[in-house]
Amino acid sequence: MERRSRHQLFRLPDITAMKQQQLPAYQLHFSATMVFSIFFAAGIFCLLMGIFLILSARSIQKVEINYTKTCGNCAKLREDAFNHGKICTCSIPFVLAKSMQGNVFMYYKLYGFYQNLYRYILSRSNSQLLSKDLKAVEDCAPFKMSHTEIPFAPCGAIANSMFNDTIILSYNLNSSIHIQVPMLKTGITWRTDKYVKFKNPGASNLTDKFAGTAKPPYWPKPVYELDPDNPENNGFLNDDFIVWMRTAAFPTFKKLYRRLHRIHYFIEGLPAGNYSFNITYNFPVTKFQGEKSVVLSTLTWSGGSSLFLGLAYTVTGAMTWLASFAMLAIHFMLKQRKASTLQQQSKALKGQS
Amino acid sequence: MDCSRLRTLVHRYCAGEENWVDSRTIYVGHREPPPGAEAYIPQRYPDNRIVSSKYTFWNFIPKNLFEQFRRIANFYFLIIFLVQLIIDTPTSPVTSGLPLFFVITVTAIKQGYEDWLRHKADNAMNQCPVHFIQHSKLVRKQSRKLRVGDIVMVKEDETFPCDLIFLSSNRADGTCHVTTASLDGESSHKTHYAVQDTKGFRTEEEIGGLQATIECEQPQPDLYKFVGRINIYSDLSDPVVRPLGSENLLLRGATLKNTERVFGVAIYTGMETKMALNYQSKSQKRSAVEKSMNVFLIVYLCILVSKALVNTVLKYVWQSEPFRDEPWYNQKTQSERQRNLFLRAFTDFLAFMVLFNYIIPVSMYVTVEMQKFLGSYFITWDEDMFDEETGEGPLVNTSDLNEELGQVEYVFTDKTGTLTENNMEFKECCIEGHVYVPHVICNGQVLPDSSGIDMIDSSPSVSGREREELFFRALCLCHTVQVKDDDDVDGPRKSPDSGKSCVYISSSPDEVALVEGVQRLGFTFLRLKDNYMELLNRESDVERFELLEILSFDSVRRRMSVIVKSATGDIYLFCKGADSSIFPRVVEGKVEQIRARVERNAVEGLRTLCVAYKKLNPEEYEGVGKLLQAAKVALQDREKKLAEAYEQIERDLILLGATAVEDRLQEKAADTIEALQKAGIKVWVLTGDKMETAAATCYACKLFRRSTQLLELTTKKLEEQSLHDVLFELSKTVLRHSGSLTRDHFSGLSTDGQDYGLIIDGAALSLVLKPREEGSSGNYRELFLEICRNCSAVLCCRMAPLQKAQIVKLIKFSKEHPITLAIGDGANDVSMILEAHVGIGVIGKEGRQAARNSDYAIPKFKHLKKMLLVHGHFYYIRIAELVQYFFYKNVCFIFPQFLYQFFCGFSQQTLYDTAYLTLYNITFTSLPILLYSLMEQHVSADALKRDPVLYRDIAKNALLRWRVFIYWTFLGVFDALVFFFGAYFMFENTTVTSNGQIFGNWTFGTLVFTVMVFTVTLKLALDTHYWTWVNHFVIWGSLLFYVVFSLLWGGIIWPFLSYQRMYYVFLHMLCSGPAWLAVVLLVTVGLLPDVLKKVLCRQLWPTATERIQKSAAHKAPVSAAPSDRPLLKDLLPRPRRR
Repeated sequence: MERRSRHQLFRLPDITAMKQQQLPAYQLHFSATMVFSIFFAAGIFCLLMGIFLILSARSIQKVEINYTKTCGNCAKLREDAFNHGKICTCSIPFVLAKSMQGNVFMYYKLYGFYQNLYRYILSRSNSQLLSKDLKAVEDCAPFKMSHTEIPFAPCGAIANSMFNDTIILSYNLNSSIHIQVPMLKTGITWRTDKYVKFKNPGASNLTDKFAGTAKPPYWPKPVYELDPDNPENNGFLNDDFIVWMRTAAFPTFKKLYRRLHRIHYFIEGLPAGNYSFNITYNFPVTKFQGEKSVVLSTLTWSGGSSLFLGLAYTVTGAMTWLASFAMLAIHFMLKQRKASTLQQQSKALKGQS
Repeated sequence: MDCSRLRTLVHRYCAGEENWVDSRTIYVGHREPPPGAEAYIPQRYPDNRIVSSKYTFWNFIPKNLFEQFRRIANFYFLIIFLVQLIIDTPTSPVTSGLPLFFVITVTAIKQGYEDWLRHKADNAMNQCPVHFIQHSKLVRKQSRKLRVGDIVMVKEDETFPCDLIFLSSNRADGTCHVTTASLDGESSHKTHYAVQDTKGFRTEEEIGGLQATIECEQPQPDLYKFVGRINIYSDLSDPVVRPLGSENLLLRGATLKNTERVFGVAIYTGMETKMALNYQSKSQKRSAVEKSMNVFLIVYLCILVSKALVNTVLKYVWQSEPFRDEPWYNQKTQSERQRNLFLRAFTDFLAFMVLFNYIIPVSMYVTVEMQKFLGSYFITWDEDMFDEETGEGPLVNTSDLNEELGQVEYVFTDKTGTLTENNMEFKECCIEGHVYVPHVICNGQVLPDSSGIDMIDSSPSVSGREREELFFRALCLCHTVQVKDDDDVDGPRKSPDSGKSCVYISSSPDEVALVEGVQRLGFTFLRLKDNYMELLNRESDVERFELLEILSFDSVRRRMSVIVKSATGDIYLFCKGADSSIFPRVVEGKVEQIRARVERNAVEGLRTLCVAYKKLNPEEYEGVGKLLQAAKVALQDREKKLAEAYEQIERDLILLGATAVEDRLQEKAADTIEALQKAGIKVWVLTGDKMETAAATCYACKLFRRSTQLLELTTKKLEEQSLHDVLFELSKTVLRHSGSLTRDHFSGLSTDGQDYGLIIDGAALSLVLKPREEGSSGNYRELFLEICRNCSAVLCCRMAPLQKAQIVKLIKFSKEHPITLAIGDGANDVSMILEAHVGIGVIGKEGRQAARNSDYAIPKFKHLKKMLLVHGHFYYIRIAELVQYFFYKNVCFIFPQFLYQFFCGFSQQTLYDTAYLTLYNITFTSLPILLYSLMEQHVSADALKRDPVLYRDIAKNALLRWRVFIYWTFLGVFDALVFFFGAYFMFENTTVTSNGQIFGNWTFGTLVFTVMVFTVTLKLALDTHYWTWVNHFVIWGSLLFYVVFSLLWGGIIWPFLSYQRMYYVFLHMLCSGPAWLAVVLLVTVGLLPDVLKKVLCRQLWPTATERIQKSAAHKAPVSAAPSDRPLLKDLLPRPRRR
C-alpha cells in the first residue's frame, strides 16, 4: 500500500520488489546454539547409522577362495593359446564351519583385469546385441570379423574376453557322497538388460539365426551353444554373457555367477560341512599377472559384507560430535571473556565515579 | 603556370603521403577561382556517407567469427573443440562444441542485430534529402551524394548534413542559432556568425554567383577548434581575405534554431566531419575482478596442462610392461601398432587435455557476462537514485565495471556542479570598497525597485556614484549571455519592455547569476542586436553600446573582456575575471580594500570575480583592432597569437570592484563524503576554483574538519621556499604522527589523533610532476605520494582539466595500484572520468558530456553513497562468489575424472556419461549460481548504508585474494577426493544390492556425479544468506531437475544414441539402499569442513559484516561502527580513563 502511494508520488517506472532488490526473503543466519544442535543431531544420527551398518555387515557370511595358485598347472596350460583345445579341471575342497543361512550367491572375482579401458569399453556393437543387424560390427575393432571376413557374433573385445570358467560347487556329505549343490543360472542380470538391451535374432533355432556369423576367436563354442538346455538363457540372452557385458568400474571386480537354488538339503541355505569347487579352468589370467577367485556370500538389505560404509558413518558421527563439543567450548569461553571484560568495564566506571 | 600544372599532375599521380597536406582548399560551389589566383593542389575527399556499422552482409560471418575468436577464451575452446574433432577422444566433440556454438551464436546474433540497427540508422541518415545549389538553382538530393564544396541550404529545425562554413542566413545580422544537444549535450542556443562579406547574399542566384576559395586545416576531432581562411574574389578588386573560426563553422549533427534558413559550403563530409571523428570508441576498462579471474584462469590452465602431462607420463610408465600395454583381451589394431611412439604420446596428451578441459568452463564466461548485464539493471531500476526534480535516473553505460564500484579506494570529485549545486546566486558586490547587497529573494519574490540596495559603508561620493554605475554597466556588458528570444517563433507573446521577465541563457551559470543580480540592482540587459548591446538603466532609459570586440573567456587566462563604444562615442574595455588574473594587471583603484573583501568572501565559500575597465582612445582602439585582426587571420598558431594579443590588450586596467556569487552545496553532500571516508575511501577534491573558495566548500562538506591541520603546497608558499624544502618539511610533519596515528587514522574515525588535509594548486602540482634534469624525477613524486597517503583529505585547486587526469593517473599508477573513481559533471571532468578506473558523470547543468563519457551517470552527488556502499558492495560479493564457486565446482567435477585415470590404466576412460559432461555446467549447476549472483544480499541494503565501515571488509579485492582462491580450490579437491574414494570404497569388491546383482562403471560414475551435484548445490545453498522464493525455486528446482533428467535419460531407449549405456543405470542405483546412504554420507562429509570453518571463523574472528549479520538475526539493529574490532580490544587490557 505504501509502495503504491510512493509510486504515484514520484511517477517512476514500475517499482517492483524484484527490481528494487526488496523481495521478501528469509535471512539464513545460524546462531551458535542452532549450529551446535544441528551438529549434535547429525552426529547422533551418523553414529547410530554406523553401528547399525557395522552390525548388519558382520552378520554376513563369506567364503572367498583364490584358485590362481591352487590350480597352477591349469594356469600354466592356459598361458599358451595353442592349448585351448585341452580341458583342464581343478578341484578345491574347503570346509564350511558354520552354515550359511538364507540366499547364497556365488561370484567370480578377477584381479588386475581392466574392464574399464577406454578402447575396451567401446568395443561392442549395440545394434548387433539387439539383433537389429547381426553384421553391424563397425564399433568392434579389433575383433570385428575373422580372417575370412565373417563378422563375429558377438563382436568386440568385451564379448571376446568373456569369463568362461565353469565352477561347480559340490557338497561332500562324506568321502564318497558328493552332492552337486543346485545353482540357478538365471536372475543374475538386470531385468532391463535381459529384456531390453539384449535380444536374440529369433526365439528358436538359434543355430540358423546366427548363420553367417563366426564365434569370437577366444570362445570355445559359438554363442548359440552357451546354454543349450535353456533356450531362454541362450544366445545373446545368456545371463553370464549379459553380466560380463556390463563392464566393471575397477580392475579388481566381482561378478555374480550363480544363485543357490534352495531345495532339498539347501532349503535353509548351505549347511555346514565339507565342500569343494570343481572348476573347469579356461580363463587365462596369469598372462596379465592377474588372479581369480570364487566367492560365496550371503547378503543383507544393505548388500555385501563391506564394513566401509558403517565405519565411515561411525567416524563421521564421532567427528561431528567432537566438533560440536569444541564449538560449545569455544562459545562458552568467548561468553565468559565477554562477561569478564564487561565486569572490568563496570569496575572501571565505578572507579571513575 | 605550366610549371604549376605540371606540379599538379605530378601530385595527382604520386599517391600517398604527398597528398596529405596540412590544409585543404575548397572551391566554393566548385567554381574555379579566376586565373591569376594561386593554384591549389586538388585533393580527393570522401563523399558524405556515414558508416558507423562494422559489418556488411557479406563479411559478417567471417569478420564476426574472427572478432569473436580473437578473445583468448573463445580461441581456447575452439582449439579444444578442433582437437576433439581430429583425434580419437573419450569425450564427444558435442560436449564442448555445443556450449561454444551456443555462446558464439548468441553473441553473433546480438552483434548482428546491433549492426543491423546501425545500418538502418546510417541509411536513414545517408538518404535523407538535402537542398543544395547547383547552377544557382535549388536542387534536392540524397545526403550521401553531397561533396566538399557544395553549397547547402538548411532550414529551421533541420540538422546540418555535414560540416559547413556559414555563408549567410535570412537574418539581417548574418547570425543563426544552433543547438548542439546531440553533439555535446548542451541544449542552450549558440550563436554562429556568417562570413562578413557573404552575409548579404540572400537568394540562390547571389550565392550561386559567389566565387571564393576556402583554405582550412585538415579535419580534426576537437569540436570547438577550427581555423581557416576564405578568399573572396570579385571582378573588380583584389581578393578579400577573411579569417574563419569555429564561430563560422556549423557542425554536422547540430540543429538550426530560430533561423529560417542558412546557406553554407561543405568543407568536411562523411567520415571526416567532426561528429564522425568523435565517434571514438572508449578504451576498454577492465575491472580488478576480471584481472584476478584471468590470473586464476592461467593457474587452472597450468593445472590442466600438468594434469594431462602427469597422466601421459604415467601412462607410458605403466604401459612399459608389455602385458599391460596390450593384454590379450584388449588387442590393438594393426594401424595402432605401427604408429610412432611420440605421435602416440602427443595424441594421448591432447586426449587428456580434452578429457580435463571442463575445468575451465565456457559457461563461466557466459554466466559472468549475463550476471553483469542483468545485474546492471538494478542500478537503473533503483528508485532511491531517481531525482524527483529533474526526473532523471541513473544510467549505466558499461556493465563491465559493476563490481569495481565495491573496490574504490580513492574518489576524485569535481567541486562545481558535483559537490555544489551549480545554481549560482548573486550575493553581493563590492565597488571601491563599498559593499552592495541586492535585496535577496524574500519569500521567493524579488523586490524590484532600486532602493533595494543596502549600503553597508557610507554613501559614496559623486565620483563614486559614477564608478558605481560604470561597474553595473560593466557587468551588463561584459558577458556572453544571450536573451532567449521567443519572438522569432511566436511573435504575439513578445513583451519588449518587461525586461525582468527575460530568460538569460549562457554556458556559464556565473554569468547568468551576475546579469540577473545586476538586474536586481537596477540595470537590465535587454538584448544584443546588430552588434549593439541594449540595456535598461535605473531611469528606465535604453542605453545602446556598440559591441566592437569580444575577447572570449578561456581557462588559462581566466578572464574575458569586451570592447564597447558608448552612444557618446567613448570606447571602453571592460574586463572581468578571477582575482589572481586581474590584480596584476591593475594600475589604479582601491586594490587593497577590494582584495580584502574578495578574500573574505572566498573564505566564506563564495565565488568571486573582479571587474576592471580601461578607456581607450580611437588611436589605441585602432591598434587593438589591428592586433586582433592579425592574430585572427593567422592560420598557424592562431591560439597562441590570440593569447599574446589578449595579453597586450588587457593591461593597465582600472579596478572597479568585485562580485560574489554563491554556489550552494548539493543536498547531503557532507553526509555522503563522511560516509565515504568512514568506508575507508579517500576523497580528493579537484577543482579549477581558487583555493579559498574551494577550501571553504571542503569545510562545508566536512571533508576538512575543524581539527584538520591543513598543509599547503601552493605557489605562494613555493615563492618563499624551494619545492624541495617544502616537500621535506611537509613529509616530516606528516610522518611524525603517522606512527602513533595509523590505527585510528585507518579507521577513519580519528577523533583524538591529528589528521591532515593537503591543499595543492595546479602550478605547484606541475612542479612536483615535472621530471628533473638529473633524471631522478621519481623522488618528488614519491615524496608527494607519501604525503598524500598520510592525509585524510586532499584538495587540489586551480586545476586544468588535463591536470585532473594527471592526478588520477599519478595515484592510479602509484605502488599500491589503488582503484580510483572520478566523478564530475562538466566537460572539464571528462579527461579524469576517462582516466579513472571508474568514471561517474553527474547529470548536471553543464551539458551531458560528462555523463556521456562516463561509465555510470547519476543525477546527484548524494547517489554516490548508495552506488558504492550498497550496489558496489553487492556486486562485488556476488561476482567474487560467482568466480570462486565456478572454479570450485569444476574442480569437484574434473578431479574425480583425473583420479579415475589411475584405476583405468590411464586409458582416458570418462567417469561420467557424455550427457552429464555436457550438461553439468549448462543446466544442473548453472542457474543457482546465476541467481545467487543476481540476488544475494549478505547484509541488508539498509545496514550497508548505515555502516559504511562494512565497505572495508571487501577492500583490496578481499574475496579474491590468493588465500581465498586456494581455500576454494582445496575445498574442491577435498570434496572430489571424498566423492571419488567414498564411492570407490563402497563399490570395491562388494555388492551393494540386496539381490546380489553387480553395478558397472557407469553406475559408479553416476553415483559420484549425483553426490557431486548435490554437494555443490547445497554448498551454494549454505552460502546463500538471502533466501527469496526465487532462490528456493532455483536451488531445489535444479536438484529436482537433475533427478528427473537422470530418470528420463536412463528411462528411455533414445533412438539417436548408438549406445544405451545409461539405460536404467540411475534407477537401479536408486534401488540400492547403500547408494542412498552413501549419497547422504558423502554429501555431509563434503560439506562438513566448510561449515566447520565458517562457524569457527565466525565465532573467533568475525568480520564487521558477520557482526551485522548476527545482530540482524537477533533483530536488534546495533551499529557496528563504534565497536570496530571489539574482540581485539576485549583481549587487551583497557586503559583506565582519568
